[in-house]
Amino acid sequence: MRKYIITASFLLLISLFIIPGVFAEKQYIYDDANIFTDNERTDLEQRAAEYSEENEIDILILTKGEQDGIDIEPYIEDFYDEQGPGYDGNHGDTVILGLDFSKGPGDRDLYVAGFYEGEKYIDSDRGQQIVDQIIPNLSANDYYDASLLYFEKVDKYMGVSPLVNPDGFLLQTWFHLLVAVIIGAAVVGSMIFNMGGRVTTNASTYLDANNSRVKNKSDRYLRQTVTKTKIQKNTGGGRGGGGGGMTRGGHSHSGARGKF
Amino acid sequence: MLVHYKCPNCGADMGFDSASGHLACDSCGHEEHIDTFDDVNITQSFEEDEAKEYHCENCGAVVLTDADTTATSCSFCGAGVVLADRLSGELAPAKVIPFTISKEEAMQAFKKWCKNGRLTPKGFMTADRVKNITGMYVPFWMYDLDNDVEVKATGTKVRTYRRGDYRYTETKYYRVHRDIDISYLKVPVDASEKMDDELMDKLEPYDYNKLEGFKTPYLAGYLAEKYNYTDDELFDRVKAKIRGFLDTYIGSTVRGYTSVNYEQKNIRTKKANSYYVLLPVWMVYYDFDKQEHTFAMNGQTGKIVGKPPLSYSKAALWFSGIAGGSFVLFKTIAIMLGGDIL
Repeated sequence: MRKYIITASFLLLISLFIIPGVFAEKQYIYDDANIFTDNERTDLEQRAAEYSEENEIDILILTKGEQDGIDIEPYIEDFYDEQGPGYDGNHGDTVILGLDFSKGPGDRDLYVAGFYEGEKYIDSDRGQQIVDQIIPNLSANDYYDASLLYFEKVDKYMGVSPLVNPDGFLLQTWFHLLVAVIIGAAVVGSMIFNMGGRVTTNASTYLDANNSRVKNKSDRYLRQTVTKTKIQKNTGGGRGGGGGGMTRGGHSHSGARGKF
Repeated sequence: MLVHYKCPNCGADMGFDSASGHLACDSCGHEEHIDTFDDVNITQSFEEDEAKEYHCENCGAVVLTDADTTATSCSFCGAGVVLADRLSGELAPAKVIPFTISKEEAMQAFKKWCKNGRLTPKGFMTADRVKNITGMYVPFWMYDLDNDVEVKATGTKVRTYRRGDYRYTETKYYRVHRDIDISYLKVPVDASEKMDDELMDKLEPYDYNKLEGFKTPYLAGYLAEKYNYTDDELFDRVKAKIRGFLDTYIGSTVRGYTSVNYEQKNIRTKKANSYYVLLPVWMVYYDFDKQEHTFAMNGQTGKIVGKPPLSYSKAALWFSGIAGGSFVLFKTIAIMLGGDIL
């Protein structure tokens, strides 16, 4: 009997932990600073869920209102360690946009961090591109539109191989057209040029190698000049992933920041 | 003086046969080795004023030539005749490369070449309007040239390295001096006024292993011309021709520098030897679209040069094919990397 009670209460205890995790709606918007209206929040939750499902990665937004002097980057890291979000399970693939409202306008920090697959696809460079593109909306206090843009950009970038810059010219149609036209013109041009026959003699055709030689040679060192230039340190989201870091829980992430 | 080759066997006219390299008789098939051909069978006739007008020894008709012709065929009976007086003394060629490609082979090769023309109009590709194909020995000067070259240049070696927060670029300057002998053998320059220099240059190279001592029977049945320019007159042209070769050679002796700036290139070119040679060329005259197009074929190697007409529609087709193909290729790669369709 006592055994039963222990087992039952144990099961109950487990179910308390597990069942909400399985059945509860996942939360994507953590609006501690209360910047969204209820309608906006519901709408963003729904869109975040859709985008997250589609790209198989959790796309979150955190806002911080508390004036505790903690920077937005460790704030996101601690959030990730504690909450352990992730599409593929605890501490899994996640992209987080953090907005810090603890300071005055113009001095507020924002940070985009990618974890695991997120770190691969939303690397520090792409994070910086997202940051730069949503800052105008944020500065205009248009947080809802900024969030939508953030979702769209993450959605787009998640589909593009990490090898190329998703907003770069390599993926642009005009660039493909231009290169195709140049190749076509070069090939047809050389065909036309060579229509009349090519010169097939070269410097060695008539050379008398036995009677050609260097009689005298000298290479005399004259002087040297040395110039030095300071190596520019990459700050923030320089190419090659200058940003990012490691959470205290040992999760590596990419990152890019800006102010609004 | 007109030279005419009679078959010792049947008395018909003989001509040079490119396949065997002998004099051959068309009617009985008799062949005679050029080195041993008996002088008895060579009829020579002297004209009184060695003018542009000769009488064919074979049929008596008038053989009209222009001032440069050294070998031709009688326009009446077709017998190949050689104008020996224009090939003697100063005008005697030292060497000749005999034809190895016959008229039929030349015609076939030309037709094949036309068919492969990827940018020529369709009507041109059938090569059915070839007006004339003529085997011609074109006069060339071949030069053996010794060049004494003195080069002064400044070379730099650039090394970059990093120390601390700075990147250092170290440039070392060197005074480069070279004294070089460069020799070239048998550089050909065409000596005929009528022939387009660019066309003739493109016909090169010839295989010099087949260079034979000149004998008039080689010319029997072909057209031949004498030179219009002497070797001295063409010396500047051969110098211009080897200039690029010299620069390449000089460049190959100055190695290991990041950049080389030539301050002085003293080139003294000395003519060691010059030979008057006759080189075999098939000239093809092709009427197309009311225009005559001239092509030249190396009579030894078969290389064909000359500008064929350009079909703009074909060029456009090729262009759109290549450009379109590469566009689709780039787009496919872009889409595979995650780009948008448009």
